[in-house]
Parts: sequence; C-alpha cells; structure tokens
Amino acid sequence: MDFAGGAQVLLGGLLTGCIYALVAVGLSLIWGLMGLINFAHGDFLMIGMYTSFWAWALFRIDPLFGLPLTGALLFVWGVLVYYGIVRRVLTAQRIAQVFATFGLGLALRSAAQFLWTPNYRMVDNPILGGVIRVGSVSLGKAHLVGGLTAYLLALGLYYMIVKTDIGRALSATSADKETAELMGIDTDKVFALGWGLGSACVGVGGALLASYYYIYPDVGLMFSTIASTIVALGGFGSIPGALVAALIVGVVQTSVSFFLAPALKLAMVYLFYLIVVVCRPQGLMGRW
Amino acid sequence: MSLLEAKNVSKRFEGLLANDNVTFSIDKGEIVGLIGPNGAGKTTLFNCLTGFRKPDAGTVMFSSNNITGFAPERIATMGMVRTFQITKIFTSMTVLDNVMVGALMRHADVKEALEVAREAIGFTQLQGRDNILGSSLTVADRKRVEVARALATGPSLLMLDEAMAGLNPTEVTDAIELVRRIRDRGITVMLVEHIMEVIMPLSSRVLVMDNGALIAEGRPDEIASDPKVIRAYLGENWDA
Amino acid sequence: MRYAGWLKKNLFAVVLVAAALVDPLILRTSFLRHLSIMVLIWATLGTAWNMLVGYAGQVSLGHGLFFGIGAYTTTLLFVKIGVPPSIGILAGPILAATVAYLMGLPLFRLSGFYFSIATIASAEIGWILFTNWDWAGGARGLFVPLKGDSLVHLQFTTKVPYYYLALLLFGLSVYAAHRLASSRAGYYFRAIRDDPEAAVSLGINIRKFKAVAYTFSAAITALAGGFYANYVLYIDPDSMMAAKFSTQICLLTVLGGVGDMWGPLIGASVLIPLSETTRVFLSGRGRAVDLLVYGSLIVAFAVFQPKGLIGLTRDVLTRARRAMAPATAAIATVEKPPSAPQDTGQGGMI
Repeated sequence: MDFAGGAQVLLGGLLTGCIYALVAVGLSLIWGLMGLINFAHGDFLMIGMYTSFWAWALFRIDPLFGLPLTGALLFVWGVLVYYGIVRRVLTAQRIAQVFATFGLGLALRSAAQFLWTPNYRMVDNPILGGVIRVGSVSLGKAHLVGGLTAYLLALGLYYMIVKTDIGRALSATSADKETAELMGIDTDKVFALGWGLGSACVGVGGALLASYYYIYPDVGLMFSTIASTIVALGGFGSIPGALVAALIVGVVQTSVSFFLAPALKLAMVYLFYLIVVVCRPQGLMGRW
Repeated sequence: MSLLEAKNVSKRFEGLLANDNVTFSIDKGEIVGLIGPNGAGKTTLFNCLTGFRKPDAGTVMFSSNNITGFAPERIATMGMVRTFQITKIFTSMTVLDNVMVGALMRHADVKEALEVAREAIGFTQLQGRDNILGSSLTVADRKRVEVARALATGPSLLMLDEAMAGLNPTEVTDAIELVRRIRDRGITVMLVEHIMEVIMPLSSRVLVMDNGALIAEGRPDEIASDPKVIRAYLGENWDA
Repeated sequence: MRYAGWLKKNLFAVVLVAAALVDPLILRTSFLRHLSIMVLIWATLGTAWNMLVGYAGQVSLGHGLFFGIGAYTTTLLFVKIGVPPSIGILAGPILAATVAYLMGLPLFRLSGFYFSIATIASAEIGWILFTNWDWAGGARGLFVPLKGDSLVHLQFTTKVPYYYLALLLFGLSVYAAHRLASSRAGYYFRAIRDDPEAAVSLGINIRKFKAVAYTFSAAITALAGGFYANYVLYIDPDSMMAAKFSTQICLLTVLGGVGDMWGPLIGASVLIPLSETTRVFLSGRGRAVDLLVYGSLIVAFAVFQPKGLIGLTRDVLTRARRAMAPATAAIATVEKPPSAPQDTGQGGMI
C-alpha cells in the first residue's frame, strides 16, 4: 500500500469523521443536558438534508449558501420540538421519553416519505462539486469543505460551552440541574437552547452532506445509530470524547471500506465499539 | 495449620497507606477480634482479606490456598463469608428469601435450600419472621438476617464487620451469645469492633491496628494492659 | 367446594385462558386471526425480552439478532439440507443461547447505556452480515418452500393451527419465565437487583447469572423466530434484524409494563393491532401514511397524557391484573420495574 493510498484513506476517513462529529456533538449535548437520548436525531439530519435540497431545487440556493438558513431553521425546529414535545415528557417516566422521540422519528421519516416519496435525491452541480487534488491524493471538494466546516463548528460549540456564559449555563445545568436552578439559571430556557443547538448542529451536518450525499427519508437512521455509538464510544457525558471517537470511527470506516470490503465497513465500526468498550467499560473518555 | 493467614498485606489509597505490612494468622475455632481507633485501616484490611479490594502487596492464604486477588464471590464460595457494617439485606425480599440467597450457595435445589435457610433462621432466633419484608425490619433484626444469611452459606470463617454497631445493650448481649453459639458450631469468627465490652469477653485473641499497622496482638487481658494500645486509644474511655 | 375457592381466586386467569383457547372460534376472519397470531408472537418476544430487563436489569435494543438467528437457522436447515422445520426449529434457540452466553459474559461488564448500544451494535453487525451473505439469501431474503398442510414442516393452509401453535409458544415463554423466576437463578436475580455487593458476598457471580438471563431470553426469542419463518414463509434481514424490529419489542413491553409478567401481552394487544391495522388499511399507496399515523399516535400517547394514557392503560390493566394476583404474585416479585435513574448505569434506558 503506497503512501498516497494511505493518505487518501486517512484523510477521507477523518473528513467523514468530522461530519459524524457534528452529528454526535448535538446528540451528546442533549444527552448531557437532560439524560435523554434523542431517537429522532438522525431524522433531524434528514430534515436538514431535505431543507438544503429543496432550497436548491426550488430557489437555486446552493447547499453551501443555504447553510445558515438550514442551521437557523433546524435551531428553531429543535426549540419547537423541545417546547412542544420534550418538555412535556421530561417529568414523565422514561418510557414516555423513549416513546416521544422514537415516535417523532418514525413520524418524521414517514412524513418525508409521504411528502417527497422514497426516491433518492441528489443535488446536481453543487458549488462544491468535483475533486481537489493534493499531490496524488484526491478528495471530493464537498467532502473536504464539509468535513472541515463540520469540525470547526463542533469545536466552536465546545469552545462556546467551555468559555461563554451561556455555555457555562449549559454545562452547569448538565452537571447538576437543581443547583443550577438555585443559582438562578433558567433551566427551561437552557434546555430549549440545548435542543436548538443540538438540532442546528445536526441540521448543518445535513446541509453539508447534501452537497454530495444521497437524500432519502430513511437516511437519518444510519446516522442515528452511528452517532449513538460514537457518543458511547467516546464516553457518555464527554463532548471531547465524542469528537475524538467520531474521527476514529471515520478512519476505521474508510480503512475497512478500502482494505476489506465496502459492505463491511459499518460492521467493523460496530465491532470496534464492542472491542473498545469491553476493554474500557466507560468509553474512551467517559465520566464514569 | 491456620485457617486464615495474612502476610505483609499492604494497601494504598490516594497516597495514604491504609494497610502497612499487616501479618497475622487465625486458627480454626478461634474468635479473633480486630480493634483500633477510627481510620486505623480495619475496614480496608477486612476488604483485602475478603476480596472486595485487591492488596497492593502481600498474600492472603485461606485453608492453605493463596486467595490474594481472588474475586470476592469466589472467596465466599470457598468458605470465607462476610457481613457489612451498614447492613445490606435485600430490601424487596422477605427474611426467608434473604436467607435463601445464602443457602442456595451450597444447595442449588430450592427445596433443600429452604430447609437450610429455615435452620439458620431458627439458629439466629428469627423464627416467626419468615415473611416479613427486609425493608420493614428493625436494625437489630437486619443484622440478624445478615448473620443468618451468611450462616446459611455454610462458611468455615465468618467475618463480622462492626456487627454490633447501633444495637442497644440487650441486643448486644444477645449478639455476643449468638457469636459464641456460632463458634460452638465449629465456625471460626473474626470480628471488627469498636465496642470493647463486646471484644473483650468474646475474643480468644485480639489484634490491634493503628495507622495502618498491626501494633499489638494477644489475649484480651494482655491487650488491655499494653501501653501501645492505651496510647493509641488515648482519649477514649473504656473499662479493662 | 375446594375447587370453587380456587376458581374464584384465579378467575381472571381462567377466563383469559378460556378466551385464548376459543379465540379462533370468535374471530373468524383471516385478518383478525392474523392479528391474534401476531399479538401472541410479539407477546412471546416481549416476555423473552422482559427476562433480561426484569432479571438482569439491563436493556437490550438488539433482540432482533436472536429472532433472526432463529428464523434463519430453521429456514436454512430446511432449504439447504432438508431438515424439517419441526426439528430445525429447535436448533435456533440452541444457537441463539450460545451466542447470547458468549456475548453476555464480556458485555455485562458494561452499564446501562453502554450495554444497550452494544446490543444495537451486535444486531447491526448481524444485519450487515446477513444482508451481504448471498448463500443465505442476502438482502433479497429466502422463501420457505410451500408444503401445504404439514405439521412436520410447521406449515398449514389455514390460520387456525398457526394460532394454536402461537398460543403454545406464548405459553411456553411464560412457563419458562416462571420456572426461571422460581429457581435458584430467580432468587439470585432479585438479590443482584437489590444489592449487587451483598449478592457478591454470598458467592453470586453476577456476570454469569446475567448471562443466564440473557441466554434464556435469546433462546425463546429465537424459537419465536423459527415459528414466524414458517408462518410468513419468507425471511429477510430487514424484517427481523433491523433496528425497528428490536425497538418494537422494547416499546410494547414498556407500554404494557416492564417487569410485569403480563406486560408484554398487554402491550402487544394494544400496539400490534394498531400497527397492523394502520399498515393494512393505510399503507396502500406506499406513501407511509400508516407509519405516519402510527408514529404520531405514539408521540401523542407520550406527550398529551404522559402519565395518563400509558399510565391509564396500565392502571386499568393493573387492576385487571390484580384480580389475577395470586397466580402471578410469585412471578411478578422477581421482576420489579427498575426505577428511572438518570445517571446510574443500571438499566438506565427505561
């Protein structure tokens, strides 16, 4: 295996991992905040993808320029979902919470299928079409830009959480809701913010993917599963863990696809998770 | 041939040397008391002996088998069974069911185990309380259930961790009686205790710990007059 | 006179069993009988799944793996080697039990969410393997050769024999759960759940016993899979190993009441007719209206009366169940519903 081939696989994997990171960070944020797993997370990605697609198909807005729009829309969507659904089941039993997001995901996928048919869609001639060549390594432009943007956004989110007041409110609420409330933090708004941000993240992820990925109603499912695995792999409660794990998963996936068989790439990712977690039950950087 | 032998057992916790080269042995049929001021390392030693913690150094031999580092459930099946300082009975289960869990260790058949359990319940004078839920028991009864449960496993060495804490004087007297009857049954007993009124009359031999090390060992009357022991307990009043 | 006393105590159970026995005589259309069969199959799956949650306190979101193992083993043995399904159906549980035990021993080191995701990961691996395994039919799946009415092949041309077989299957699962609960393992499960450290001090190897629960759970799930294969006469990875399948098992059990012997039957009786009815009557145009309705209803269930509808259903049914109390008390005490912890690892999902 030559250097160029190896570099190709590594870079491609990292870029894929970057997109995963953006998706996983949103999921990890929500989980860290309220201990809730959003079963519909991948389907929010799907919405992001379709939003980008229709903006392009109907208004000729390239997915790249449509990014802020998609992000904003998904942010609002996340907040709406919080106030409309999630908030009402926060105090209910776990079963209600599981039902709520699972049912939501199912409804979203079906709605997408109903409205837009199960046909696969693609954006033609995106601005980020074609490849970039660096030496003998060629990377899809969309893949490259998408990956970098995703990772920057994920890092930005993490930076925000650690450095800004709003972010610290998020952290505090995540660590100890009661105390945060005693300190005057409006945890309700913080939760809504968390949902908005988490959804925006994954929505932007979808917009980035829209430049080069197939768009169809169930596309979110795979991302949901991978994102959950990444969050667990990195360790529940650790955003840096999710960021690191995402990159590793991306590389594993691409390596397997290249060296073994494309069909098995995800199987190996899941196997990787099993092996790591059996050796290290709290994930790579888990809280406990 | 000693039943339990500890050799140079050491354990560190976050920089603190909780157990420092502890060496002692227990022979079959003894009642051995382990005393010492708070923070002496008694519980840590207890945990190292019963497998709930792994010693950093040293060996623990039980019935001539090296059990250092063995999993606690394995040690229990070998015959060294412990109780807990803060009782850990199964709160959603009845007294009988609690003791059954112990009996089932050597009697996989439920019917057989029921008999063994009932016998243990009778021995610890809990009869009539078979169907009371663990969560409804008094402290004294909980301790009795823990002991009955441990006895039902058919141990050769019973390790009691501050079993008398929280009992009133009458209950303590009953407890002392019970430990004597356990010994009479052929079970060796090691008990960690704070209450001198319990240790002195009961033990055939006493081990004293302070600051992680074993500072004295001997008969109760020897220990009572040992200046090292008195110094370690300076400030505590007790009757020799 | 003694019989009258017994009858009064267990009246509800007797009525239930009687109703179950005459069900095909009351419900005479093919669709209604199909519903009954599906309810029983899913109730079996829920009962098996319940064993893991109720006994080992851990949530599996990948039980479809075992269902698929059962279905595929039976079918492959038949299609490739000619082993009649009535015999082949026993191979599935054995294989599934082995897989579960081998998986369980290392995996039970994991707590709550990590374990659940590990089960998802395992199921996904299974799905990917079977989808790409052309010898076993790959993504296209396998058709089970038609043999008309043949008990040896577990195939019939009408639904009624299938119904009674499904009833037998469900009965077996309940019986197995009960036997496990009243055995030594049952005591140990309760002990582990109440206080793992105390359990350890009494010689209990926690991982081993959790693996035992997992094994039983997997075996029964596989048995149901084998039966299902010979009922629908077609198997493919999507209909049995996909995530949606595993999640549905979890959903219906949770709806009916986790840790409750009759929870799966109740949950299945509500959820399965709902999903099947919307599927049959609304999915015609291939535009997923059925799933949209189903999904929305689930959300509505959860949101508008989170304690209400789910709790309401449960309250009504709990009262009904209490009427059957004596029969189920011994069983129900093993499976206490796990509390809803936020951050503790054990059984954290539900």
